[in-house]
Amino acid sequence: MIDPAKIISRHSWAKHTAALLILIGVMSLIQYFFQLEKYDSGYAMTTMLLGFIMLVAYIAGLLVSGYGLPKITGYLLTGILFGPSVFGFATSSMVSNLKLINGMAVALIALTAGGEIKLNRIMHIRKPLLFIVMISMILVFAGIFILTLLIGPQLAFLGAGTSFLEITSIGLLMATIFMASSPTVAIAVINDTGAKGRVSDLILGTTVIKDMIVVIVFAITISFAVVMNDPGTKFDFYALFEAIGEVFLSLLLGVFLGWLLGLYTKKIGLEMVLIVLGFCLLVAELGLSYHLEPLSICLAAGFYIENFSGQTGDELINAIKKLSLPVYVVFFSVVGLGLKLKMLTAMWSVAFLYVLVRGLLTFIGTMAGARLGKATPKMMKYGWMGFISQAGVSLGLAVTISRTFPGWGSKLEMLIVAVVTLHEIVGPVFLKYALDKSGETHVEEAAAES
Amino acid sequence: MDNKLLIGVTFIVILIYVVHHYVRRAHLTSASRHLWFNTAIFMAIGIAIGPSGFRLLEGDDIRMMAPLVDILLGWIGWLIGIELTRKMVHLIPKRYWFIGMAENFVTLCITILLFLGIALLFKDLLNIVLTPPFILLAGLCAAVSSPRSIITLTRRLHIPRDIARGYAVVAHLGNLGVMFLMYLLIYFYNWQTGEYIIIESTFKLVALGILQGLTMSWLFLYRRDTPESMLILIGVIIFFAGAAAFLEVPALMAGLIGGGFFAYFFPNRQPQLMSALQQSERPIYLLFVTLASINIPLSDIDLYLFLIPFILFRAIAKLTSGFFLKRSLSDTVKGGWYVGVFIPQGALAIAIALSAFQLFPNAWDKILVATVVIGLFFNELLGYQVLRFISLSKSYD
Repeated sequence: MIDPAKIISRHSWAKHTAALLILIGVMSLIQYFFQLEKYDSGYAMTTMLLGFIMLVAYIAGLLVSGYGLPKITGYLLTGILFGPSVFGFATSSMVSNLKLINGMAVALIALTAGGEIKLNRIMHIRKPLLFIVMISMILVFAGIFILTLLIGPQLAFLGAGTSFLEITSIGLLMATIFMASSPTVAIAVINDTGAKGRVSDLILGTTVIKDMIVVIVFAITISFAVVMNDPGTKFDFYALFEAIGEVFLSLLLGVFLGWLLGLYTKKIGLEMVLIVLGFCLLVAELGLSYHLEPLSICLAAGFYIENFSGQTGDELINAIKKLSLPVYVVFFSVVGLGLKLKMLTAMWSVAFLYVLVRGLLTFIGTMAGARLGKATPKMMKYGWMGFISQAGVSLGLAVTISRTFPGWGSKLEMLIVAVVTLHEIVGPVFLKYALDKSGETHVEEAAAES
Repeated sequence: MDNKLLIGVTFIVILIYVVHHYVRRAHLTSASRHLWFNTAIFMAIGIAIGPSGFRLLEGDDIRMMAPLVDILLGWIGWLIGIELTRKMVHLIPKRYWFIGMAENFVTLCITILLFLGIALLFKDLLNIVLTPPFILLAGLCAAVSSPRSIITLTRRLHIPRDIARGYAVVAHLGNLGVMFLMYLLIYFYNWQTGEYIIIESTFKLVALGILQGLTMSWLFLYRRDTPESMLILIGVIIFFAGAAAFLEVPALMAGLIGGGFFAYFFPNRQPQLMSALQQSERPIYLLFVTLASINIPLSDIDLYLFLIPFILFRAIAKLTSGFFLKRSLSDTVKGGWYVGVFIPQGALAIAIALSAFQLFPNAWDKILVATVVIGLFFNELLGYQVLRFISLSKSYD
């Protein structure tokens, strides 16, 4: 990706600011005169918001990148600032209208992520990767579970009558969710910085594998949690097999669709941008209709195309990369719009504690796994920073908890959302720092040369 | 479990491969290959996913596409407006403006007269009501030509470049007149509320267009072919398409004014923006055709009762206007190609039909949109064959 600082001159910031003022002015006037609540379900306003957030978020990304932060932090902060929690340019219904686009965006980002996972490079780091996955996940699971058991009775939102079994089930669920890291954030920051190297490969590979394992483990833990909360019910083996089946079916379908896409590229090769967009829309719809995982499908498709489609794979990946920037801007700013800061402010102390503990356990687990797997010193030192961020999968699982446990489920969802919000804000910053320090973005080299 | 998604997608995949296989093996010209494999395929995809096909999109789903249609209309407006540079506005001979406007006006009048004739003679046979606004709109859609198709087809037929460019300019200018007439038709008088809304609408439209052009000028500062340039382009067009929909003015016209403002007042950056817009022209056109095809009511007999006269009347009108203007054509626009060169149509015809249909869905029947979409394919084919015939006959002279 070309560095915008090399393209536009400094005085152009004045022009960018003028344009921003027009956009903000138009949105403010509309909000003031027309009172947005009346237009809650209006697609016109949602369309305006989409264009507004794209432009403002992009400029915010440029701005924060000047301070060494990743651009997606700018996109997230823009979403938070102009979302329902702060300035209120977006209403809740506009945000949920925009989430429909995010389904496609996730598919495209996952396709890109899969396309970045090169088999030969992953094979070089397979040992540290597997050790890190195993040890860090076990450590985080155990640590979060124990923490929840310890502080559970003191958690105000749970109420006085919460039983030990309920606290145990809460602990299991939270431990599962906090094992996950975000492949979408990982690929976005890696692409944004142009990072290449073993640390990037390790972070991307690990987050992808963790995501899939978390889905399966969640099926197990939620089945246990249901039994613990309602002794009359039996352990739902069907749900467990269904979850495992969904993951494997998604991967298989992804490989098949990747093959099909590769075949189209090789035999026809026309209108690739439209075909890729259509592919992502199809995957998003398949996920909804057949309860499959769009993320897994597209990861598998991207992986197949990159590693088994030869030169045609490169053409396809290049077509996908053309769409990357607008997709990242839209995706992360919409994520920011959807972040509920009220939940964070209501539970900030507990959320902060979980963030600290999870961070510490991730650090220890990654170090231990890297050591056992004989990873490079840079992987050992900086790898853990790539596993801080969390995003869509964790939030999706939190919603499932809320629906399954009507009593404390919604309160637990609030806590999980609060923690994930913090991870979403700080995670990309840590990841960029790790990539810079490990020399894979060449920022450190450039600084040393100057 | 509803399997229509899988069946629909399988059908589309097979369709793409079958058409590609046929197109590759048949001895078709490159223009015909392009027409079949692009326009026809995407039209078929639109029909397949809509209510006439596998019903993957129906009712509310289609209404949710409205913002996307607005965005595409704004984009098309920009594609047309960005060509209105100072050079074009000041240096193009005045008679080209006259020829372009007159050619379309003659087409419009002939088409309207023919449809009025149909309306009077066969009103009991048709279920759709051929009201005056409907006929006017049909005439406007018929009047539109495609400068892009002119350049593409004439290049394939090795027609001299200066002649082709002359025709393209004439078509472009004529289209501007059609867009202006469309705006007057819809916004002079609100047919539903009975109010005169022209002043308010024009004020909103012009203000929005100028703001749009200014915003683009302050943000579009990047080299062409960069992801940043595309993002700015997409963002500005989306924002102002939404604003146009909110203010109930046509996104097509707002884009035209924005593009024209940018091209006229920022000539140094016009080539960069035009290059970025043109890079996206094909995908935008094909996406637009797909969306417009979703609502084609294949099983409605009125579609065919309207489609056949539309294509026929349009061809008659275009040929007649070409002969009528023969004497007005200068040396640089000579040649018998005027007979067929204005027959092909582009996305603007669909855009005009959709602009009206979106704002007044009860007044304008979706059959007009369907007719224009299907007519686009046949008009392109017909125009190419006429031009080819003339080229071949000229090569024997």
